[in-house]
Amino acid sequence: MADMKTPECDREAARLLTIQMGGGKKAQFLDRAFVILFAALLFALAILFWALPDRTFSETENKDLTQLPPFTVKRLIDGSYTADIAEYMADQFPGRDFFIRVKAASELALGKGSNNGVLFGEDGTLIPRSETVNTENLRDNLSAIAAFADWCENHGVPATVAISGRSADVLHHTLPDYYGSAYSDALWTAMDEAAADADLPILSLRDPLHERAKAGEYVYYRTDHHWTTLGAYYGSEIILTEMGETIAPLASYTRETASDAFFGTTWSTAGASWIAPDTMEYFRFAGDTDFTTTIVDNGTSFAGFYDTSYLTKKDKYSSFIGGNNALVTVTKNGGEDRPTLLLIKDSFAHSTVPFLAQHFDLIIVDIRYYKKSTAALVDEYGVDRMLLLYNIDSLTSSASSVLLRAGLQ
Amino acid sequence: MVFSSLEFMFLYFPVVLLLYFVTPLKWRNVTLFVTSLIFYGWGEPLYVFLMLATITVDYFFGWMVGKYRESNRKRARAYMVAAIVINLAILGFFKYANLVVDTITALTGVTLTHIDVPLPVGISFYTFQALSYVIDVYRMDANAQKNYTAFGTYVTLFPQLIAGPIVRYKDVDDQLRSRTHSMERFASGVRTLAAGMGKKVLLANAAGEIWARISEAPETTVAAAWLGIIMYTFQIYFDFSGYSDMAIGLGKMMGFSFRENFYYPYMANSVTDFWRRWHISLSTWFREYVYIPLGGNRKGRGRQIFNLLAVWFLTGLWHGASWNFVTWGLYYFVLLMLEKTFLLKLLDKLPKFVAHIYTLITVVFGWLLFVFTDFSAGMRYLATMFGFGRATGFIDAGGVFDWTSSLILLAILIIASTPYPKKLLYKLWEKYDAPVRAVTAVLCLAVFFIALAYLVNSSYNPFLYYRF
Repeated sequence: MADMKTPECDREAARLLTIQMGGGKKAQFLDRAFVILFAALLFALAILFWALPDRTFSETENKDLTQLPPFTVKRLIDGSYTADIAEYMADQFPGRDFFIRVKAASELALGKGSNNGVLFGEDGTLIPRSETVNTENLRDNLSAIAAFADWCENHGVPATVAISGRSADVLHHTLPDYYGSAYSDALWTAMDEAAADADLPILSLRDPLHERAKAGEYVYYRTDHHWTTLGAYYGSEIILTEMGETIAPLASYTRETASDAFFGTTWSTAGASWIAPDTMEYFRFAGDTDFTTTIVDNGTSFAGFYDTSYLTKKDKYSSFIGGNNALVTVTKNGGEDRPTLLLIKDSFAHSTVPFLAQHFDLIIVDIRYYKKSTAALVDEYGVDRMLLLYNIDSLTSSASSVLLRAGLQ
Repeated sequence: MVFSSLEFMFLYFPVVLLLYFVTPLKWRNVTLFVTSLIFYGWGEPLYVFLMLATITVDYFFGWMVGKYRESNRKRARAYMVAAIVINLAILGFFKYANLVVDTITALTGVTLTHIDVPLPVGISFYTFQALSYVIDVYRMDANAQKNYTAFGTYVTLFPQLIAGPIVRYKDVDDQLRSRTHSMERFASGVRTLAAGMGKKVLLANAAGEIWARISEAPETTVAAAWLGIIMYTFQIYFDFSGYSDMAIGLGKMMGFSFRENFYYPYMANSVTDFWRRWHISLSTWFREYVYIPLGGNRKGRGRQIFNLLAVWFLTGLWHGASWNFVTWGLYYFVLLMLEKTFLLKLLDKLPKFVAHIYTLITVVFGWLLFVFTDFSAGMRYLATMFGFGRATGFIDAGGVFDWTSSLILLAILIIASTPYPKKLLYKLWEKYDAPVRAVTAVLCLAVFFIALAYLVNSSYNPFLYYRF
């Protein structure tokens, strides 16, 4: 290194500067215009940022936006104040939604085929990318579920465990052929193995729904991770059949468009706001308002299965039984004596309620929010049957099912 | 604060620009000094006092060295040595104390407690700048700076404060007294800033995101592992040289002219050549302030080898308080010695592309030592690249997706690593000044605009030099 030559790079930089500085009048004008535009971009956005009112919630992204952090000397010194300012700026930046769209478009223009971890399938299908299998969560959850199911059976409550697929399990035919179902297969194989080890029979809703999706039926939303009401109907059909019940034929329902502007959660993550919205349907049937949905958490209730106030909001899927709550009951008016079903669920089950409720009174519990013993509900409500309906994501993303062990003797 | 952030571009920088240009020429260093301290204190406000202490110490010792350097060489030397010791002690305490603790624990089993202080950002960069000042004054390469704000401005100057380039005092001595500001120079600075912003936000982050995902996956494949390390190779180059460009551009806008820091390192035809092109300001610093003072090549073969060993040990250690960086430095020492003894002559005889491929492979494997602070994790990744370790096979669906979805990005990264786009630009610019100026302006604004979109919706925007 002692024999380093005169740096070529400095000579080149000097040469470039000479070229750049060496223009005539026209060059001077152009440079001035360039500098003014640059400064305008900088100052205009800086001023707009402070001048525009702050938003509290982003409908497009479905998230709360950071507000101006409170200033204290302590927070300045420990660095949390400036860190919050960075977040505040990003969240309240003028034209945030527009810039998010620009970024998504650039990513796709670069041929990346995904943005923010969402794969772009055919026909505007958005699928969260997921290639790892959390075997540990799978095993913990399934063994707890098996313990709970055994406990139910021992208490004379027949138990059914049904698992639905994610978009990646059902809509993978919209992805490139080589990608296909490889990761989906790996996950379901791992689940089957874990279930076999826990001695737990599982009703898989993946393949039947995938077949229907492949045949062109609209069973999963393109922009959301849930199944459509049609998908929920097919899922319920399989479940009810397993329970020895017969679902009312598809033709007996009046299909009502609840919203033709449903932008789901995957759409919010993907940032590609040009992707067309989904249509959300209610499958109406005669007498479907003669039911009462009660949210036990806060004591509120409404007629039928739908809280239509959600239809004007971003989170339209929550109009099914009012979204995520710890404990909800759905009963038929008029005091008819019907069997009671304990439904342990995640949000996939919400849109199956109109179908299940025609056969059972429902005690619906979400153990991610319900902090008391689920087992105690069996005696409390005189439960006759138990159905656990989860999406496979709930088995891998966290180990929340272990809460089912609480209160098992 | 880092340049590639919204708070820099739309909060800090507009205010600084405004203040800087409304300040009368005479007082502009004061504006720069104060605003640079705010830049520095943004993340760790208390370290502003550490910074002021460093400045004051070096200001005082520099003054003393300047005072005695002609009348009493010995005394001047003592002041210089004292300054060096103090600066290195501060650097050692904040950056290397825990490495010493860990090493002692590992070697003797005696458990010592960690010193729980965050690393002051950019400490390795500004300490080296401060050292160059005292040494330059001692060597009569520059005069002592009697003006405290001018000296403070040199040490804290926000464009190069946290990620270089390392500016030697003698290179900016004059500029601290007077600099020329002009619309053309400012425009040129904006262009360089745009180039740097594009390199960092659009290229480095895109490459880094792929690397991060592949390197963090519990299982991967041979093909994905190769894609990963190739992406890291591009990330570190575009990130680092992007920062340097942004620094040079910001400096230019305020009348400074810094020297280039990178010169198409991945075009190098030997490791020796690579190090003439990579982080030039650091290699220059080590050559001038370590290698040559140790005697360079003037004291015989044995001494030269020792000097090089010292330089590469320190170069490695400078990059972070972890032994993997030292390993990385020594890896280059070995390669450079091999090249010195016979390899360079052999490479000269071989076709150029062979030499080029040899260099690229060597550098890529070097980055494996660099990026994994945990040596065994690095070795596991290396094993994965050859079908062992975490590899589940040659390629899988995710790997095919990663490769196909990266092809356009890869092409851009490769082209942007060569001098050809710039050469073409020079040629066109000399021929058609006005159209090229107009098109470049539009391109630069477009880069800012798209980079802005990536900053607003940033999923991945790391600062890689927090260890330096």
